[in-house]
Amino acid sequence: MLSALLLLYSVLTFAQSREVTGTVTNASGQPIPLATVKIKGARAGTSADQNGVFTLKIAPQTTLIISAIGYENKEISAGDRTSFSVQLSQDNKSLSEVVVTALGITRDKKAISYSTQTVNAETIASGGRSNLVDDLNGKVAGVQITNAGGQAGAGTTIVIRGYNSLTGNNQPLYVVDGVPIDNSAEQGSGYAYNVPTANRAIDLSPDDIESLTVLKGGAATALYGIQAANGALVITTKKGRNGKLNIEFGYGHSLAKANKFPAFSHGFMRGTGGAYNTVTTNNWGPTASSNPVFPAGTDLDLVGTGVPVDVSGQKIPYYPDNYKNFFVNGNTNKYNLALSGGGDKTTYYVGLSRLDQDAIVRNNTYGKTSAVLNLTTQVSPRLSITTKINYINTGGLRFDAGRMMNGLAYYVNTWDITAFPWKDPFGQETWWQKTISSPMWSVHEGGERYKINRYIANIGADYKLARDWSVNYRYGLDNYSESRRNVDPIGTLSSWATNYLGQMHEVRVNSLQVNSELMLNYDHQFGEDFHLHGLVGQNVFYHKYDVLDITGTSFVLPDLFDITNTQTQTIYHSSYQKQTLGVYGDLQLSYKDFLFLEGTLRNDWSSTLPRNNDHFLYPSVSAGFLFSDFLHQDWLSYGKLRASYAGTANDAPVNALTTAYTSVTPTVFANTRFSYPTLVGNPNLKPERTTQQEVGLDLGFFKKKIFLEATYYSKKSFDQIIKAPTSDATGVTQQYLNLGETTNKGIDATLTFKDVIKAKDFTWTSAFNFSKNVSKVVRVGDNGNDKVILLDGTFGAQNSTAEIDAQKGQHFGAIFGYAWQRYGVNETDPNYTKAPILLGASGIPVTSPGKVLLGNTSPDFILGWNNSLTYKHFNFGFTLEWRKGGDVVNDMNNLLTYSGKGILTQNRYYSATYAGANSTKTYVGVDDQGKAKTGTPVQLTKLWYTGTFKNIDENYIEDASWWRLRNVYLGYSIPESVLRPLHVKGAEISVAGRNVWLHTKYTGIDPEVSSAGSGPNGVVGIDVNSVPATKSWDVSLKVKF
Amino acid sequence: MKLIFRILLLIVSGAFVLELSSCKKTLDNLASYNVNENQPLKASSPTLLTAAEFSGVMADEGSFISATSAINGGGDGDGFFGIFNGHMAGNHAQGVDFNQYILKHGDFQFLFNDAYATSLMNLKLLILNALPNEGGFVGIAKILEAYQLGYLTSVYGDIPWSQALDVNKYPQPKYDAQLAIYDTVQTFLSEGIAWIKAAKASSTSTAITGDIIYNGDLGMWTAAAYLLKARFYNHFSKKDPTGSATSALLMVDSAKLAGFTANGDAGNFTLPYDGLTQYTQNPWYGMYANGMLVANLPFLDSLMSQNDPRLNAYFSSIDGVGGSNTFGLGKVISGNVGTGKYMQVGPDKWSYYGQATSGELLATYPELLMIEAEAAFRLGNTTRAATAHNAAVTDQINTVLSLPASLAADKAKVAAYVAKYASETSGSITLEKIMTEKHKLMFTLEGESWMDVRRTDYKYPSWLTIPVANDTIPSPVPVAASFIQRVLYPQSELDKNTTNVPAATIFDKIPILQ
Repeated sequence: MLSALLLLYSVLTFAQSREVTGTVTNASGQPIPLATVKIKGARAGTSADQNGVFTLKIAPQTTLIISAIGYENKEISAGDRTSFSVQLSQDNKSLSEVVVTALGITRDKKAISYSTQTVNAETIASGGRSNLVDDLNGKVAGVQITNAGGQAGAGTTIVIRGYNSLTGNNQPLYVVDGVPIDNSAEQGSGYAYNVPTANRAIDLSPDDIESLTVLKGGAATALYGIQAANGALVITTKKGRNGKLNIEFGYGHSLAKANKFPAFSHGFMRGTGGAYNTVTTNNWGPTASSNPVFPAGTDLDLVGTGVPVDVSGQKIPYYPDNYKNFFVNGNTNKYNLALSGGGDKTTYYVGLSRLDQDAIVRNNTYGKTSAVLNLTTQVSPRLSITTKINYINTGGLRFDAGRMMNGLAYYVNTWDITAFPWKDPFGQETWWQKTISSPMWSVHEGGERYKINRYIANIGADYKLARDWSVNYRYGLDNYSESRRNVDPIGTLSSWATNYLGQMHEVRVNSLQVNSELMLNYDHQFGEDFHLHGLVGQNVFYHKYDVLDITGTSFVLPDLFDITNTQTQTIYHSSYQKQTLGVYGDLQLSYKDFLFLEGTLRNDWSSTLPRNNDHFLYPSVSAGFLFSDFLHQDWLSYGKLRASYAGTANDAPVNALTTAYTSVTPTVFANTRFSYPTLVGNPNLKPERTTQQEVGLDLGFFKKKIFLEATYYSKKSFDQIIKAPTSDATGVTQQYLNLGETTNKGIDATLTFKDVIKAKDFTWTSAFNFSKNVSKVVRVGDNGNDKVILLDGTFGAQNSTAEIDAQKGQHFGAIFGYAWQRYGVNETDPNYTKAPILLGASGIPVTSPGKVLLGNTSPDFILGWNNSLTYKHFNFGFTLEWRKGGDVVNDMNNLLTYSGKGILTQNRYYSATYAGANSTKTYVGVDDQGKAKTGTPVQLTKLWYTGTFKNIDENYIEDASWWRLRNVYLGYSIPESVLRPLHVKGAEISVAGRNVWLHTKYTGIDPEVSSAGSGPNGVVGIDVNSVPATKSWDVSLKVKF
Repeated sequence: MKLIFRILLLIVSGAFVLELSSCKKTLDNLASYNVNENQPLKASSPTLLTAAEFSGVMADEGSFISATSAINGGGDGDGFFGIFNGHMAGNHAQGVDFNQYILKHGDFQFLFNDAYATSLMNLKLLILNALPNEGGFVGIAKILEAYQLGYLTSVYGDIPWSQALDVNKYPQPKYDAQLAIYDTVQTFLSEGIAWIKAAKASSTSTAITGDIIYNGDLGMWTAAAYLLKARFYNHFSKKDPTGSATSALLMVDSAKLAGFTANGDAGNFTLPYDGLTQYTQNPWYGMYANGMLVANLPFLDSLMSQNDPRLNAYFSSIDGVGGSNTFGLGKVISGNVGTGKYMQVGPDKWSYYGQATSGELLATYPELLMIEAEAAFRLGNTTRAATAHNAAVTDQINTVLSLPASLAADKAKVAAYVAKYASETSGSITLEKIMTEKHKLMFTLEGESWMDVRRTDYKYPSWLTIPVANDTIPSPVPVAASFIQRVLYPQSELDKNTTNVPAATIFDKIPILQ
C-alpha cells in the first residue's frame, strides 16, 4: 500500500512527458525501498516501490533528485535516457528525507511536525547484539534502555520519554512492516522468578532490518491508538527488487567477557570473629597475610572426594578470585544469508540467520534461527499484494540468576571454584551450605531449557481505486509457543525442603495476536500550493494468551526429568483474551513547501473496559513552519519550527473489572483452597489519559552540514489505572483505581556535524544525542496515602530494605529506605539525609525510625556521541555515552557486607590483640540539642556491620553515572578491483568492540544492568544478584554476490 | 468547491466505517472477551475454610517461623517472639537483630497482611456467603476470627476491627481499643459455640469438609472455643485478677466438658502439615535449614541441668564448629555467633515439633491445665492449682514423648522429672513454679508464651535478662533499660493508614498490661 500511496503522490500530469524507470540501490547494490524521486524545480515526483524501482513521467532535460532514509540525496540529469540505475551513498548523520510514520506511512521529513528518529540497517546490524534494542543505546535521543544482564538471551527494556504508567505497561509498541508484534515479557516460571526471560522483540533478526524509526511523542503515535501509548518502534524489513539474484552472506564471531565485577574486601578468610570456622559462608575469619592454619579438630573435604579428612594444622588455602573465575569467555557465532531478486511482477527477499551464543556464565546458551520471506507481487496495475512470513526459533539453557549469584556470593575462598568438583563421587553436592546450591552445581546440573517457536505472517493488499484514491488492507498474525523445562535434579541443595529430591517445572505458553487494518487514502495536489492527504481507517486487534505451568516436587527415579516422574504436581493455569476496535482519520495539509498541518482523530473500543464506558476518542494536531524559506540565508539552509498537541489513552488491564478468588496451590491434605484476592477489581474503571505537547526546532546550517533537531515535550498522564495500595486491615492490599497522575517534561535533541572534515579520501561525521527527562508523580492515592511501591523485596530475594517508589511530589522511581537518624528534620523531608547525623548519649548513630528519601533512579541526562570516519576503503566509528546522575541500590553489597566480603567491610575490628584488623570509625554529627558532636569510636565488628550498618539502606545508595565507550569499530571494504575477478560484488571485514570501556564510581557491576528483568513496567534501580554485563570484541565478514 | 466536495466525501466514508464498527452487537461481543477464564467469582465454604486455616492461621503460627525463606510467604513472627521470651536466640541476620531489640516497622508487614488479607477476609466471606445448612462452617469461622484477633491484640494492643475488611467504605480503618477487641473476641467465641450448637441440633446441616484442624469434629471446635475463652480471659490477670480467674476457670470447666477429657495430643488445637511440598510442611523444618533461630542458652541450660526428658523432643543438634557433639554449647542470648554446636527445633524422627509433617500447636490441653492452675492459684485454691499444674506437666511430657520414635532414654527420665517438677501440693505450689513450668511446656507457642512472660513482668522464668549488645567485652551493656513489650506496627500501616496507626515504641506496654 505504501508504494501505491506514494505512486498516487506523483500522479500529476505533465505536458510532453515520457515515462522513465529506475532502480535505486545502496552502495552494496541492495535495493532501497521507497526512495523518493523528485523532479528538480517542480512539485512532481514519485517514490520507488519496495524493490527500489520507480517509474515517472518526466519532461525532457529534467533533473531528478533521489532521496531515501539514511542516504545522501543524489541529483541526476535525465538527459534522454529512459532507465536509470541510481546508487545512493549512506548518510551518516541519520537525517533522512523520508521517514516512516505511524501505520507505515512514509512522509517527507520536513512535512512532519513531531519528533522521530531513524536508525538505519547498517547501524543495527553492525551492533551485533542478539537483542536489537541493545543496539539503539546511545544512538537515539529521548530513550532509556536497560539490559537485564550478562545471561544469554536476556531481555531489555526501553522507556521512551519517561514512564507513563505507574503500575502498567511502559514499553513501546513494536511494529514490523505495518503490523504490531508481540513484545510481551514472560514471567519466569514458578519459584524460578529470577530466570531472565526475554522480551519477545529479541526474536527479530537484526540482519533483516532495513530501518527502525522511533516514534516518540503522542502526535507521532496517535494513529496507532492505545497500543502505542508509550511510543512506537516502527521497523521496516528488507525487501527484494527487480533484477537478478542478489546473495549476501555474513559471518560474525564475538568474544565476550564480564565487563565489571563488584568491589570485594580483600585479605580476609572464611571464618568468624577473626578465627577460621568450618560452617560459615562468611569471610569474617583471619587475615590471609597471617598465613593461618586450620585449627585442631577441623575435618574438611578439600578435594571433593565427599569424605572430610582431618586437616588440622595445614595452611588454609586462599582463593580470593572465585567470583571472577566463575565467569568464562562468551562466544557468539552469527551466520546470515540473504537472497533477493525478482521479476517485473514479483520480487522476493529471503533471509536466513542463525545465532549461537555461549554466555559468560558457564553452560548458559542461547540460539536463534530466523527465516523470513518477503514477497511483493504487482498483480495488476491497480493491485499489489505483499506477503511476509517469518519463522523464528529460539531457545537455550538459562539459570535462575538469584540462586546462582547468591550461591556465588556465598562461595568461600577456601576452595578454588574452578578446580573443586561441584559433586562428589556419590553424586552429592560438595558444598557446605545446606539450603543454597553451589553456583557450579546450578550451572552444571540444573537450569531451564526452553524453546520458542514463533510465526509472524502478514498479507497486505494495496488497491488503487481511482486517481487520488487508494485502499489498502493488511492482516497480520503473530503466534508463538514456548516450552520450558526447569530442572533441579535429585541432590540439589536448594530442594532441601523435600529431602533433596529435587523438583521441576514444565511450562507451556501460547500467545496469539491478530491485527487487521483497513485504510482508505486520498491524496491530492490542489494547484501549485496546496497538498492534501487524508485517510480513514479501521483496526481490529485480538490477543489470546495461555500459560500452563506444572510444578513437580520430588523425583521418584533419578535422571528422568519428566513431570510424570515426580511425587506431587501442582498446576498453575492462566489465560485471557482481549480485543480492541479502532477507527481513525488523518488529514494532512501543506501549503507551498513551508506550512504543514496535520490533524488526527481516533476512537478505540476495548474489551477490557466496562461496556458502558468502553470507548474513548482522542485527537492530535501538529503544525510545522519552514521559516528558512523566507530567510534565504546561505548559512541557514533549513529552519523549521514545529509544535504538536496530542491526547492519547490507554485501556485497563485484562480482568480488572471483576474480583475473582484465587486458587492457592498446592492443595493441603488434598483440600483445594480458594482465597479472596489481595487486589480487587473495579467495575467502574475509565480509560487512562495522557496529553502531550511538544515544540521543536530543526536547524540546518551550511547546506545541512550542521543540523540540530531539538524537541521540548511536556506530557501529563492522568486517570491512570493504578493498583492503589490500601491498608492491609481492609482485607485487601490493593485496588484498581483511576487515580494516578504523573508528568514528564524533557528535551531530546540531536546535533549532527556532517563531514566535519572532508578531504579527498577522508570524511568524519559526528552526531550528538541528548536526552533529558524530568518526571514528577502528582498523585498516586487519596487521604495521604501517597505512595505506590514499584519495586522492593517482594519482587525478588532482595537483601536491603530499600524500595523504588512512586511517591507524590517526587520523581518517578524515588528510592526510599532507612537512613542514619538525622537531627532537626522531619522524615518526610526530601533533604533528610542532608541534615546532621543525630548522635545520642552513646555517641553512636542509629537507624531512622521510618523510611526516608535516599535518591532517585532517573538520570539527569544521557548524552551519546556518535562518530563515523571513512578513509578510502576503511571506515571507523565509535559511540561514547555519558549518563549523568541517577542512583542505584547496590543491594548485592548489602549481602556482601553481611558476609564480610564487600568492600565496605575492608576496615574491621576483631579484638584488641589482633594485628591488622582493629579499625574503628568515629561518626560526626550533633547531639540531641543540635550541638556539634564527635561520636564515640565504633568498633567495626561483624556485629556492627551486620546488626547496624547493614540495616541502613543509605549505605547502599550509589551514583549510577557512567562514561562508556558503547561501541567502536573498524571496517575495511575490499576494493572492487580485487573482487571483480572473483565474481564478488562486495566484501567487507570489520572488527568491533562493544562496551569495552566503562568509567563509573559505582562499586557493583555495570550500573546499567537492571535486576528486574524486562517486565512491562520497566522499573529498574535495584542491583540484586545481577549477572555482570559484558564487553565484547567481534570480527565479521560480509560478502555479496 | 471541488476541495470541499472531496473533504465531504472523506468524512462521509469515514463515518461509514465508524458506523459499521460501532454496531451494538459487535461491541457487546467485545465485552465478552473480558471474562476471567481461570478464577471463580464465588468460592465454596470448604475451600474458603481451608484457605483461612492454612494460608491464614498458618501464617501466624507457621510461616512466621520460616524466617527469610520466601517459601511460606516469608515473615517471621511467632518463632521470633520466642527470642523475646527466652526460648530462642537469633543466630544470624534478622535473628541477631531481634536478639538486640533492633526492630524495624518493615519487619512486621506480614503480621497484618496474613491476619487481615488472608485469614480474616476469607472468614468474613465464608460467614457472609455460607448456605443455610452450613451453620457449622459459620461457627468454626467465628472461632477462627476470635483466635486471629486475640493473637493480634496480644501482640499489638489496639488494632483495626470495627472498620476493617470493607475497602469501599473504610479504605483506612481506624484502630479499636484493645478492650473492645477482647470483647469482640469473647463475643465471637460465644457466637461460634452457639452456631455449632445449632448446627449440631439441625438435621439438615451438611458435614464439615475442608477443615484440616479438627477434620469437621464440631465437638472439638467447641472445646477449642472454650480453651480460647479461658486463654483470653486469663490475659486480664493484671487488670482484673479475680474476675479473670473466675471466668477462666468457668471456661476451663466447659472446655473439659466439651471434649478435653483425654490426655495426649488428639484434642490439641493444631495446624497439621502434609509435608508433601515445601509449601505444605511445618515451617520449623525450614527454619532448621536456615538456622536463624537456635535454642537460647539459659533455656537449654535449664533443660539440661534439670535432666528434662523433653530435650530431644524439643531440639535437634545442628552443625557447629569443631565437631563436638556435646549439648549445651548453644547460642547465648547476646548474639555471639559461631562457636559451638547449636540446638534447634529440628527434623530428628523423635522431634515432636520440627519434622516436615509435625503439627504447629495453636493452643493445647496442657495450656488449658496451666491456665486452670494459674487462675486457681490467683483465687487461692492452691489444691486445684497444684493438681492442674502436675497434670499439665505430665500430660505435655507424655505427649511430646508419644511418637513411635521417641527415645527410650528420654522416657526413662520422665519419672524423676515428674517427681521433682510435677508433684506439687497445695502447700508447695507457687506462681513461679506454675509460670516456669508453663514456660517450658508452651515451647513453640511463642506468641502466647510471650504474653505469659509479659503478664508476669518478665519475672518467670527467673533467668530472663535484657540482652546485651556484646558479651565478649568485660562488662556487657544491656541493649535497653527495660524488656521489650510489643513489636512495631507494620510499615505498610505507616504508609497506607498513616493517620490512624497509633504511635508506639517497643517498650510501650499494651493497654491490658498497663
